[in-house]
Amino acid sequence: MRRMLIVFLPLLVVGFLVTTGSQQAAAQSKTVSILATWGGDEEAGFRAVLDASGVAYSYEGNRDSTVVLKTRVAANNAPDIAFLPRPGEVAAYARQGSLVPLNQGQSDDILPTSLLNANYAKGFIDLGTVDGKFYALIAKANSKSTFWYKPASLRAIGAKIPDTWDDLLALEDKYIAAGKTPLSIGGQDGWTLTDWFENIYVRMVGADTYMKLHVTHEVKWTDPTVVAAIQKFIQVFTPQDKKLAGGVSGTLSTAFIDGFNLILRPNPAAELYYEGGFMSSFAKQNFPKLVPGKDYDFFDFPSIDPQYGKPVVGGGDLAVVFASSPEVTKLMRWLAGKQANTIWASAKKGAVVSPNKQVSLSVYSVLTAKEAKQLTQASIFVFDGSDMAPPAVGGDAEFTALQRIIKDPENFMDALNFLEEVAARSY
Amino acid sequence: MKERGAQLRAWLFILPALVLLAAYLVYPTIQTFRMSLFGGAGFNPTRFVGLRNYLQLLTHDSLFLKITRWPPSGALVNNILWLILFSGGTLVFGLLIAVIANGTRLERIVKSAVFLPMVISATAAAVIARFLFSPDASVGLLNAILKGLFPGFTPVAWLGTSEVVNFALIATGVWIWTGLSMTVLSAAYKSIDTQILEAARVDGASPWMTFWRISLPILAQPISFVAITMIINSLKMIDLVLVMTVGGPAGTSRVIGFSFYWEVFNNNLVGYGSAVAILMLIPLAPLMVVQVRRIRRQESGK
Repeated sequence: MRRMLIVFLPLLVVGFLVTTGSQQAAAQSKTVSILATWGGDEEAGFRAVLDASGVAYSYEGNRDSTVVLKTRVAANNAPDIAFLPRPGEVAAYARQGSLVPLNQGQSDDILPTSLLNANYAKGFIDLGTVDGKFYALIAKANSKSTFWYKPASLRAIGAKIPDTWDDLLALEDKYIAAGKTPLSIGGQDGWTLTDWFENIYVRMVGADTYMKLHVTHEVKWTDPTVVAAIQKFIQVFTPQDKKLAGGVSGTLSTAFIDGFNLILRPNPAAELYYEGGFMSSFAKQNFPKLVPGKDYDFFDFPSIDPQYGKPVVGGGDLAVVFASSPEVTKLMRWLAGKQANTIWASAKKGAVVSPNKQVSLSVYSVLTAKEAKQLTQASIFVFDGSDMAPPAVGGDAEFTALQRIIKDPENFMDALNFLEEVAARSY
Repeated sequence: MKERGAQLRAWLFILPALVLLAAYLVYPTIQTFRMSLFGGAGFNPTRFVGLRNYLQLLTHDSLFLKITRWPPSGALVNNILWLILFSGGTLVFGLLIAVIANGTRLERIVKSAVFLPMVISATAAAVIARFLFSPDASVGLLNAILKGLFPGFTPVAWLGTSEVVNFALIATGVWIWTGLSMTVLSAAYKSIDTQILEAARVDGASPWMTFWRISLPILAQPISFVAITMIINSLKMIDLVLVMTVGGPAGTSRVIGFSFYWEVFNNNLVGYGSAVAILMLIPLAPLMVVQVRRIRRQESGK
């Protein structure tokens, strides 16, 4: 017995010391837990930002982070900070009272108003605001409002970059007059068509109505605003045999990368192509000899209603806070600042396009710099609407409906009725 | 007593197979049927809707079945087209090649060429076919050939035209599967006793008559085997449609298998997709029974 005591007593003492010691350390500086989807290179880029913050953190990257987060919030075991890829979830968590507001116009806010205004455009502040309080900080973003063109081809017909919708239509006519086919659309992939529609729609109605159509379905697909947007869309591709590469059937059997290839190859089938900023990576792969920014470039998707200017449709990740502490505040302020975003935007692995306007554009390659500039100046920023709608609507019926409209624009109302019928039973 | 022991032993031997069948066939089928009675999203649907999914599929889903406008359209109609043309096409071409090439010098080369698409995966074959059908004259072989033959020919987007797309897909299917039909039928044709054919010729039957009256009836068994296999294939079709057209343009080339996959895995409507799967099972089940019975009969016959 005594021998056992001799053995165990020191162990007990050591054990006691260790536990109290770690408790003391925890009281001095709390480790901030973070949940996001990023792994691999993306995680490496993000960790570089976190490492430089001086805050102790534990990072968990999980492809299924939205599901993981849902169960952990339900179990009262939420991480301190989470990154969400969908703004709809920010609103849901905020309204159920799970989130700590980052800014509500007070002096002790986690992110003071001055800090936000100095670093982010109004579009992103609006994006993170739910019922008048700011909950979500945009961490990285990408744009789908980039209209691809070839500078040399534009010069050849003596045209300028179109600023408005009418300019775009005039440019198309100019190409036709020069004996060229103006537009290529990768219509086999239905989401390229939904991207078209989203850019047009948000330019005509603004962010609120846009969200009501896609996220909550308070606005119907047969609404006059939708009809007006579809009519604008129809203007850009009719008459199809003159304006579209390959006509109707060519468009509907062209996938999105092929659509871009059609304007870039020697003997191009068309001169303009619309899809997101990510297209430049395909151009680099398929046409390594072409010079980005010189042989191909993009302009902002033209404005339609001057009241809304040129909103940016895109995607990104939003940082939200579930539990506040001095460490969380410190980390969030770091993440919202110039330094952290510059580190992230210029990371060797997993660099991102930062929506922070203080980041110098010189850290990017030429086209990425342009995309970053477009993003940091966004008056309105909305997420891809079809991604926010139920998949039966935004990932299926909307594809079919818009393809039908490409084929048979006169009966566009039939297509919208079909879409509304699916939407009516999907929300 | 001894009898009972033998029976018990027999059951013991069957047991592993039975357990596997129950776990991987019977249970999933029952579960699929149960889920087809539920609405809503995800794999744990909670809203019981009875037969409403079926009702909607057959009356209110224009991409699955539309009979209000002539000609009828939708995945179900396309599948009937597949069933007739694909099964018929593989059978006719398989038989023709098997009989015509038989005994000629080119037999091996022809058969290898026809069988080749069977060897590569359907996905790879579909990608090749996509290139073949491309409207872009610098890529699309078919349009290039037609243009070469008829200089005034305007290239057709075979996969982007609703009226043509199903035929282009079915032709691809036939191209891939004729190899199997040819192999089975060729083996059967070669096993016909030459004395019978000889006797027919001596009796003055023309080659056509010999084929029609003698070879074909003898080949009835393998032909119906191939036919049923191809019908089952056509009812299960999905890979070609998914890779070549994603069901488009505007949903006009969908088939039942595609609808099932799309509703469950793209639209996350598990109950609705399950209803499609059950509808698919209805014509498939009796065919399977016929097939199994035949195999059993053949085995006991020998």
